[in-house]
Amino acid sequence: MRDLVIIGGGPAGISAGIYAARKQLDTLLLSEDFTGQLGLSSLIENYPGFKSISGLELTKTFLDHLKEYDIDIRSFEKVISIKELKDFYKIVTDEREYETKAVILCTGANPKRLGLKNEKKYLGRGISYCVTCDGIKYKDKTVVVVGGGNAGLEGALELSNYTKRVYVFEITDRLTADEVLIERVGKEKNIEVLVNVEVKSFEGEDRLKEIIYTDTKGERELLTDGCFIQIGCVPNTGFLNGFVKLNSRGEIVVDPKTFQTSKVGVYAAGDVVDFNEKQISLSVGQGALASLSAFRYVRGLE
Amino acid sequence: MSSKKIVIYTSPDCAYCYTVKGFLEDNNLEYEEIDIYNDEEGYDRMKEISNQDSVPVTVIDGEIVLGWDKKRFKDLLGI
Repeated sequence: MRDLVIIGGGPAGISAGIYAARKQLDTLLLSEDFTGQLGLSSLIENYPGFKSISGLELTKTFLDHLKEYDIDIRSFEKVISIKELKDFYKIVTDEREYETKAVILCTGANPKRLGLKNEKKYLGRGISYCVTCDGIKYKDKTVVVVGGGNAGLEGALELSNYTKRVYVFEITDRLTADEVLIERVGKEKNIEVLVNVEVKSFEGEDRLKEIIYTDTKGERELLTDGCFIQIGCVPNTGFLNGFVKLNSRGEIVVDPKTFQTSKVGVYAAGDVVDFNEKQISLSVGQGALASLSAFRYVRGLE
Repeated sequence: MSSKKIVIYTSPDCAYCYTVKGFLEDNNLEYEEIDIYNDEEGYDRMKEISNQDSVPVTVIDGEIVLGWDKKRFKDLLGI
């Protein structure tokens, strides 16, 4: 029987792991992969201590820090279900089962798909969800970034360094990214922002050739070589199957003082919880708080 | 231990590529890595064999795996 199982190896899970290890809880951290919101981020410039770092580099830095401690880390194991037994929990993965006194859910969120015609067909043939992975292939070409939030504008800025032209499509009447990013995008001559734009379909033959969209004037089409979809994320809570209370967006409801979920001894932290803002620094803080709460629970402290 | 020939086409800062490489390393498997950002011929070859241009593309004894697909990796590698 473990003291604590942390599910997820993003900023919240790693922070929870560091705090749990320092409190000498017998802890297991399960991480399915390294392709969460952090791993897929192009550039991070708002996490203290790092003026500018890629998401993957920050992931590696966090993991290096965690591995300094005596903590059992099992990567590439996917959690299938969690069961509540008499006074402990059983975690079933695609490899084996674990018993634990407490759980912290840090399963994060995945990139949202538009769910449109041909979106899947052109994945890897003009459509991508990862600017950092696939951007450079569009050197001197025209690309579209769908999404005017932080991820969208960060991607557009990276792409503007080597592409001929970048169009940013925002569905609402204004960009929703941080002001500093909006200002920077405004200074780039090869980025054009289009608001009130809704993508309708992707067209082409072997590869994506044009995007059909509507704006305030009706239906239009834009010829493009590539399209990067950056429209936010959906919480990874599907496997919970009613185990803890979720809000209408599928995020885990927590007590903001302890980050305990609707189940005693089960905590949640990071992008998977019902907080409006999703930030690495918030995830790290929430992971620490959830871990300290789990420590108190496991040790029977008030 | 698998003695299959494994080639991975990657790009720097690609989290899916890092995941695939980490999985192979955890299973003590050796692989050849081709960084398509620095190897134009490699990039062309990847497009030709996979009929698409997203990384990672992994070739295991001639079988192609697109992206990170744990079940397919385990099946192909017999682990």
